[in-house]
Amino acid sequence: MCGIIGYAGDREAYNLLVDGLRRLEYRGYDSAGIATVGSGVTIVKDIGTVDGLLQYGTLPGESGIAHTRWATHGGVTRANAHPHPDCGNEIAIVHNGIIENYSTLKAGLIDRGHRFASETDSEVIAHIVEEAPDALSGVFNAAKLLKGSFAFLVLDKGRVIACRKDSPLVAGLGQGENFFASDVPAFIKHTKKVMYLENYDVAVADKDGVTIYNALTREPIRRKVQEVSWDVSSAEKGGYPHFMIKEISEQKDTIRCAVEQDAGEINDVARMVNQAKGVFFVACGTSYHACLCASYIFSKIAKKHVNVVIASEFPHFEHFIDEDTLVIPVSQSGETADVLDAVEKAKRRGAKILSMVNVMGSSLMRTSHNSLMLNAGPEICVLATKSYTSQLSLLLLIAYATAGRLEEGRKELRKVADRVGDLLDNAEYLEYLADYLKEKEHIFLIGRGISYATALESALKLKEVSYIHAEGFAGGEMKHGTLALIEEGTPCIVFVPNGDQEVLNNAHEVKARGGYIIGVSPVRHSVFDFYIPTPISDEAHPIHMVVPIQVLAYYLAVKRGCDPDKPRNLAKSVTVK
Amino acid sequence: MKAVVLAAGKGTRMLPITLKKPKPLVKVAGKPFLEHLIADLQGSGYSDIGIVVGYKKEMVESFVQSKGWEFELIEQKEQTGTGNAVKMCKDFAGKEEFVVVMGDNLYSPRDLARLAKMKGNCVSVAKGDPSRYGAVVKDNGFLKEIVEKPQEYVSSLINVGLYRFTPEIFDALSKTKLSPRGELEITDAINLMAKSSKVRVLELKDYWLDLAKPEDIYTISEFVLKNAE
Repeated sequence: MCGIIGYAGDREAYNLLVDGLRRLEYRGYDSAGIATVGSGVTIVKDIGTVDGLLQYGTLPGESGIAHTRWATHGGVTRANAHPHPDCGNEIAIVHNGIIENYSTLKAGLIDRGHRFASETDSEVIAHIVEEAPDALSGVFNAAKLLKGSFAFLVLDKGRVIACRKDSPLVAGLGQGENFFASDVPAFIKHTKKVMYLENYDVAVADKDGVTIYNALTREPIRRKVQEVSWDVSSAEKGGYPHFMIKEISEQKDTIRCAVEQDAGEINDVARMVNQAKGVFFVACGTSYHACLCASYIFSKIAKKHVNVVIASEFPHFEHFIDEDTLVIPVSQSGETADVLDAVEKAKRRGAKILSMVNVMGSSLMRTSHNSLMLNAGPEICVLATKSYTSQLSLLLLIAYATAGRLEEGRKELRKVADRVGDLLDNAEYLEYLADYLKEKEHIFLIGRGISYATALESALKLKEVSYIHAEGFAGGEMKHGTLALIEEGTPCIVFVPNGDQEVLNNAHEVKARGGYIIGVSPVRHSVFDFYIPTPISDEAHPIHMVVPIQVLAYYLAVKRGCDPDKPRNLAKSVTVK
Repeated sequence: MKAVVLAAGKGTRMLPITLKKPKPLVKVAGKPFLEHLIADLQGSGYSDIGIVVGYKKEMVESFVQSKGWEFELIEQKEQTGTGNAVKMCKDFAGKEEFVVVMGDNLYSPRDLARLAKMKGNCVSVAKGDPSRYGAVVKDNGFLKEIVEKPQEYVSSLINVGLYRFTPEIFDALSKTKLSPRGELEITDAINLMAKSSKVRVLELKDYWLDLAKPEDIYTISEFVLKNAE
């Protein structure tokens, strides 16, 4: 996830772009850059935050584009920072998204004599555009050629041309000036009049207006002008009251970003899993629950046994580790002290380290032999929500690849992303359930098989943000003790992904003792007192089933007066042991 | 051509999704279901649209307003059957023929356009097993009767709830008795009308999608997204 902004008007572009970038830094902050047009195109860019750019002084010109980066393809280097110019330095581009077919496109462009200055997927856009007789036809060509997700801006003399597919892009309409940005906060100080661009829209902005075309037909089209009512502080949360619900709502896109990864890299990882004599997943908290899911997923899809160890417990297992072992540490921040410590111990015994992280350049990434990125974008809320479903998506994808079925897995996970979108679009009813639960002291959660991991993660979400005691169990375990705690009206959330009669029997046992059964399932079973509907899925139900519980946890926190973004006693990145 | 969308129902089978919003506003493929339906109607020759509202009508009203649609909103105070909902549309229809669409069903714009070009009373059907719906029985090409949830085989044509009416329907409705469940059923009125005048039967060529239960959201959404590609 990156942030982009473009400006065409009658004021100096530089200061407007710097200010806009600061408001987009929540989308990424490992590098930043600006290009403007004065007498020619001038670019400044560097690694680090937006403020780091200021040392280079201002740039002349009344139109420009800018970018704040969250690296996906290519490391955090100055060359990889945007904007990227074409060979002739006549245009410059910024891009947010992932271009799946960039390596094929790049090879063709190099054959035709183009010179590349970066390792990014994005740079192909600049070279495709320069091949056309004019920039607008170049953008039309690019829209047709590029596969994956993209929102990009092309700075072409005094105007900015925009194009999008599956990545956000909005136009802001001012007086004698116009903007494009990944998100409204970038220009909300200057105008509240916006036009949301749709897939395959190409928009051209100069100081007088914005014209939109369909990229495929090249015919002019119209988009509705809307007025946003946000103030500046709610704007950085995309109009949402808290980061938690904003990040929950992003999951349709973040799941897609997690699975749109280079097939070669995923297959390499699958080969490592297949060749290893022992595989250990090592993680803490929510990431540990993702790994626990993975142990079921790898067993079922890839017929591969993997071990899962809580990172702080790992030292007690290290005697099993040798140079044929593959250790897969999973961490959102890549800075978790317990995980880093486990990795050090594994490395000392010669194990191969393959990490899964969300932060490019993090300590974990640097110390690993190989890394895969979650591509979920910055997660500001202390609770892990989108990073969990991204971890699950990536783990599922690797399991499919390990079984030699990568493309089948990718296709299935794209559908999962759409279904998560539908689920979130219709989740308001959970507020009703939160009203019922907000005064309760305990919530129990049960699931069998892979849903046991879903029960654990769901319990963690509920308790860490609402401070209601919540505990997850394997369905068969309640009767071995905890059933004693069930009283009249004690809520018990039951995960029933595929009509499993045994977990339904467990639900009946709880209900017979007065429990209030909340069923999460694609089917409305008679034992449910309250029904949370989810899509049918053979393998991806851990993703579908946790999403409504995340929403429920959010509503519970708000109704109980807790701060969902900063739960008491907790920190986002746990850098102490 | 005039079209009436019946969107007043409580959406009981869609619970709990309909606790906080009416079924026409349930989102499918990123948009309220009603928006998909209206786009299909507008794309197939219907410019004069009325919407019968009831359950959580304020939400439907403000959605219609936010889209800038200048449609007539017709209130059905009590949700006592589809016949009652159609009865509310007498003023809207005036002396013209009009089409009735269920607010939770989607049909292809091509089939909707075919219905717009027909004349007189008409019932639309799809081939299939009608045992959970109404079975349409024909006689000489015209409607003989609609049998609700037939226990035995009477036909393999399902009544899909997409009708074209002349103002004659309002006379039939005023003579129709309440059903055993105490509702004024549109199918009873149509059966009454079929006894004295000719009701055509239009067989749909494309698809018919019914948003009844929560699981339908995902299948319809997938269909809509695929169709848009």
